Amino acid sequence: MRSVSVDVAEVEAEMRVLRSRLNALTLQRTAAIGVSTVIACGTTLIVLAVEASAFTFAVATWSAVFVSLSAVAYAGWRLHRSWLTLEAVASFADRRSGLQGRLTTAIADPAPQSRLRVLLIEQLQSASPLWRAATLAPQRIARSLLLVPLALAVLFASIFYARSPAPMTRTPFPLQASPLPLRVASAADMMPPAGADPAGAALQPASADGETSTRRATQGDSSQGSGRSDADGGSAGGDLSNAPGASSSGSGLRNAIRQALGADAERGGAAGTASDPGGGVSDSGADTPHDPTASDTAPQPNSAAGGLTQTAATDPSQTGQRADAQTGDGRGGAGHGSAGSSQSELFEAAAPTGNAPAGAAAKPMAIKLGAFSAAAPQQVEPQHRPSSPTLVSESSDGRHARLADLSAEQRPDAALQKLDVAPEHEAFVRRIFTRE
Amino acid sequence: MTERPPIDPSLTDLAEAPADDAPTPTISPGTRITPRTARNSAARTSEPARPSAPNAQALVDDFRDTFSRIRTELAKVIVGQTEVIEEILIALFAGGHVLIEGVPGTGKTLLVRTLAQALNLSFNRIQFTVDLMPADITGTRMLHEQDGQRELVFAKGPIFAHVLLADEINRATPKTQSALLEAMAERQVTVAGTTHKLPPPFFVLATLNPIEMEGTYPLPEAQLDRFLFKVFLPYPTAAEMQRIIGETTSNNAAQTGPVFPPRKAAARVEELRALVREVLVAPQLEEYAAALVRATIPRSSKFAPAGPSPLPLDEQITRYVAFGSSPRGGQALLLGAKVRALLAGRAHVTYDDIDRVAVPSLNHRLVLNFAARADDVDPRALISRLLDAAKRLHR
Repeated sequence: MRSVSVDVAEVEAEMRVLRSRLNALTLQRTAAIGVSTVIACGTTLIVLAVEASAFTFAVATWSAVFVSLSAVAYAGWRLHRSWLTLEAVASFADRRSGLQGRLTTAIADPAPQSRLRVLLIEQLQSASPLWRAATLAPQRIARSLLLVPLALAVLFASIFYARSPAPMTRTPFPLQASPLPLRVASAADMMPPAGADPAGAALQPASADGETSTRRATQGDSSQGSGRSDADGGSAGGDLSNAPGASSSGSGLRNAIRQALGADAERGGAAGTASDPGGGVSDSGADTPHDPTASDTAPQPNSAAGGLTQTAATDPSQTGQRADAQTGDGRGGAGHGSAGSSQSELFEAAAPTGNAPAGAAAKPMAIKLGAFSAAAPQQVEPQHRPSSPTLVSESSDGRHARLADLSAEQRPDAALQKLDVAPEHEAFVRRIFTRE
Repeated sequence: MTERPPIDPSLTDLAEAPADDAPTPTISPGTRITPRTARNSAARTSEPARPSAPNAQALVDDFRDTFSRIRTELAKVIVGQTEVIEEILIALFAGGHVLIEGVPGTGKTLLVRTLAQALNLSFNRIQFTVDLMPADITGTRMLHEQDGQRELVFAKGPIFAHVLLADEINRATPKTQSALLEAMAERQVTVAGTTHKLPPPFFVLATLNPIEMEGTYPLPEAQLDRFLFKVFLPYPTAAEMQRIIGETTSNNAAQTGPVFPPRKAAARVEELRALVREVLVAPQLEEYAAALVRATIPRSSKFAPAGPSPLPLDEQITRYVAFGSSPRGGQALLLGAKVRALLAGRAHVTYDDIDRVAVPSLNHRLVLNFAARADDVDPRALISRLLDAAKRLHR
């Protein structure tokens, strides 16, 4: 017969094996809870970054941070509470196998000289199938770990969902305009660099086919993608700055998510329309070398763009960054173009104006200008840069007066008119606005 | 009227023998498995050795068998009262003393006498009265003349016995009651500057009469604390009453047979007591017993220990208890639990073992205040509340 000490060592060794298994399972469970919670929060943020408003996203960001930190703290606390010592493992094994404290007593070994100690070991050995680690903790992988791949699957699904094109949603035009300085800043980001052809920055009528413009933007190359991000970044920044509780970190995170997903062109059209209805510059789309159909859609008249007679510049020399700005603005045009049901009331028969700049392939349009009659003196703002187009914004009174002239269907599309006016066209535009 | 206790000359050598002269029960390895041979070899072998598992099992089986035989012998005479009998036997093998409280006529004296007969141990009975003196219990020095020479010789009192029945102990004065203090705690008596060892095993069973409180002296707390258990002897049930009156009014009254051989009874009891102390107790269970004892001490007591109680203090303990249990209560818990573990065939103590002996171990150690007496609070109910809380929280 083996000595008692060896038997106690066997019991202790088995308890150590059981302890390592149980602690490993506990570690896996807590890690699974923490990681899957963090992933779930990230998934929620991705979906909200694409779908929800800026305020909702900001709230969700802080909530996600709080939930993630809470989950990590809870996981740590639970790990600390559930981490088993050798005595605790023995007690657990006693309860599970109905040994009435034999393992606990054997591990403690309170009386090494007792004559009854050998009896305790003998009873334990006879019941060894009940308290072996393979019996009490047969599994080595916690089922809770399945939460992690499940959360990852949901995360990837949300990414694909965010990348997939969605039907255009129309957001009603807010009557309260955004602060002008931000608009100017956004527009300034979209300005062509110095030396660019100013004719390319001419006012272009927005494409009536907004969806076509959007799809074109989606099919763009990487330079277009970055350009879209830049253009949309200004718009998103304007949104977040208006939202109560918004933060720069939240907006940055949102932009980063959108930039990473490339979902702003698809989803941001509606939001961009809501926050920046005018869009500033109309999109001709013809400048983009990747889009041969743009020249066909760009010249389509868009009455919601402001009721101006405009020319569509099809300057083939415009490429690169100009395309970026145009793409971002094209979303605004798309938003206006969707209001096609009331266009026939706004447009009259097309007639040449004779004011188009020389060298531009102009398509004259006759547009009612009565909507701007009340606010004409305030509509023209001084140009910020001599070589850059300026934004023309309505005053509040003028906008309300113009809204009064429009029908109910037209009012949502009666955006603020912020039009880029090239320096050489300044006199022409001033003459138009001061005629009445 | 004081009943003069007889002095048994045969106990003289036992009184002079030191307590630690009892043979150490050891079993050499490889001994035959039967309990009897294990017992005999333990008596013969002087060198301690670690037994094998079958021998250890034999020791446990021998204990259980002996316990069962004693219980059977007592059941021949005592009708019913099985729980009381079991608690008394647990206290006997745990090495403690028992205070029995019961109304007259319920068989307290008969129970103790029958136990002494079953164990085949020497038995003395002292009827405590108000004029009983300490020397009547411990013995005294008497002038003895032999061959023309006179000398003072110590005449042993009735306390020199293996089993001592202190009947109606609360009728003696505190001075006489205190004569038992040293004997119960130290297993010795000191008379005229000379210490005399009491014969092991020394087992005191005292009875209390809860009625006729006129002319009685409640036991001091110091003496109460020296009793391992306090058990209550209830009235017998109707069926038991029928058996009692039928058996005690006829000529065929049952007789108790001795379980142990005459000269080895004391050694056997001591051997079993030693085995009880070898039962294993995990540190968690010692902590649990200590927590139970600590929970009996009210916060308001100026002797309350510092630091929080491991168990939540019961509101009724704070309200009704003036002084809680002493550390002897914890000793009683563990010793009683060890006996219960052996009776269950186990070599180790469980929580349930401690719970089962908590009431008899602690109920007489709670010193209740006036509010408790006014509200007729039973200390056993307080301990039961503590056990319920301990089961919910500590386990």
